[in-house]
Amino acid sequence: MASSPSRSTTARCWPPLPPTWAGRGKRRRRRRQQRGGAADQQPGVFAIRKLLAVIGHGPQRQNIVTLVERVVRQSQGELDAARARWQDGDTAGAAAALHALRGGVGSLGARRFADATLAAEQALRDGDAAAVERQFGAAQQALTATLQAADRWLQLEQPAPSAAVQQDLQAAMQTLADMLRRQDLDALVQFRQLRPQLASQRGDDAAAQLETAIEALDFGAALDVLSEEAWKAPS
Amino acid sequence: MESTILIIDDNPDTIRLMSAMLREQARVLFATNGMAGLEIARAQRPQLILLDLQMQSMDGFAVCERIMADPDLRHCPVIFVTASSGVENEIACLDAGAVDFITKPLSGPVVQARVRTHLRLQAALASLDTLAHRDGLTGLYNRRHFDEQFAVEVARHRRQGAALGVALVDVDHFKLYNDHYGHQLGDECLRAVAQALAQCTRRPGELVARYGGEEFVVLLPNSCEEEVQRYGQWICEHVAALKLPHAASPVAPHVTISVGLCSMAPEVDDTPASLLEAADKALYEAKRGGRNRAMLGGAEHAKCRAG
Repeated sequence: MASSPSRSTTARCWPPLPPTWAGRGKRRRRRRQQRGGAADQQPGVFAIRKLLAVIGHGPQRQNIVTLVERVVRQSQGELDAARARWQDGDTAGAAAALHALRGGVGSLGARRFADATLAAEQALRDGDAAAVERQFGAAQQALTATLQAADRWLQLEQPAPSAAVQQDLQAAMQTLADMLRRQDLDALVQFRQLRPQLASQRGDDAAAQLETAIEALDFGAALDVLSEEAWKAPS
Repeated sequence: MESTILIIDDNPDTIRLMSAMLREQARVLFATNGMAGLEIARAQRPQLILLDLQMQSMDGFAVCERIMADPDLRHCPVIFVTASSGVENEIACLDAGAVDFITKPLSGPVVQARVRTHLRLQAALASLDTLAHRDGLTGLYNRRHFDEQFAVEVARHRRQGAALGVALVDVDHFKLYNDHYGHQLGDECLRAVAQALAQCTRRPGELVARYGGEEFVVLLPNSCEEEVQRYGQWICEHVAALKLPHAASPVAPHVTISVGLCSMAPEVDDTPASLLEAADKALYEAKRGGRNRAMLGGAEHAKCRAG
């Protein structure tokens, strides 16, 4: 009887050889994909499998993780704020808030949420209070489902091993500052690589302050942080 | 060379998402409002702009209008990113000057495919532009490009009352060089001289082009007589310093050049042809005077009015 290559290998090697690091990494990734199989593909609720497929496992994946984290952390508050605006009579503000919210949440495959916010915007424009109330309710229901699914996916998404490479900190910081000045999004990857080194040399508070500005894409504020005296001191 | 994409969107989530989708294809810059986006576009000249239609301060149509009105930016293609779909909206986007549009919620494969298509198109256009404006042998600008820029510069200097310098450069006894060393080495010689001229011609607005055969031409904006004379002398020395052997030359044992110069604040009657004619006459004088030298012509007009 013909046996599969893996079975014959196992049979010949006793005790079994430890898997190579590369093999272990692949297996871990495969396991993660299997566990996250359902988590990343819930049609209409949270569907980012295609997105992840086109992005791959490079440094850009972290951008998606950060985006999902932000959505999980803030979007409920943003929906509440949109509803409060409407209740205060600010229909234009409420519509703008829903529009912005849809950009982030909808792009994670939350089609139901996107449809509900679109319908709410239309009802706001029509001045149909009952429909607005109904659509806010539908949006809330859809968002709850999306946030639960997104949270589950985040729990399965192991943090990528730190790609930090010990480098000339001053030169690397100069590169980071240049990227920030150009509004170059590679600053995100550059900062993430530098962060452990920065935290150990300048303190975690200083690194966290810079991280907050960079991850919010407020590169002007990040440059302001860098221009403060503490950052100018030689490392 | 890596392409550059500029994303103008007031939603950081969308910026982050599109950046993740597109980083494999291009360097990604961003702005969170229209004014900042226009500034970055002018400074960085991206190959493609992805522009959000609905933004708080200045909407996408207003930004696009400014892009199309800016001579430095209007060649940069714009793709609108919009949550509004429908034929009317599509037509409005295309009428505004956009080359395409992408609808939200964003789909990774769609964003990648559309951007890839337009980056390829841009690369093809850039190649065509190079073919149309560059000289194949030396890599310098060609005569067609020179003629276009020369007309623009003459008009500009006439308006401003500033002196425009022109230098016509001829490789001395190049026919003898070709006869002695063969055409392949002749081409090498032209490339070396072209490179030397390009190295000497780096101030903003200066332009060096191959005029034809072994002749080159240089535009020297805002340059008075004294300055163009110094420039002419300098390039003669620079080319001589290359020490390219020229055993057949009766002038020197190495390759030399003759330069005809002209500096003129163009009056209403002065045309590009009249400036060139003055430089050509000066070149003739340089050759008649024994070659390997720079001569200034058109003295009756050449008042140094530039600062």
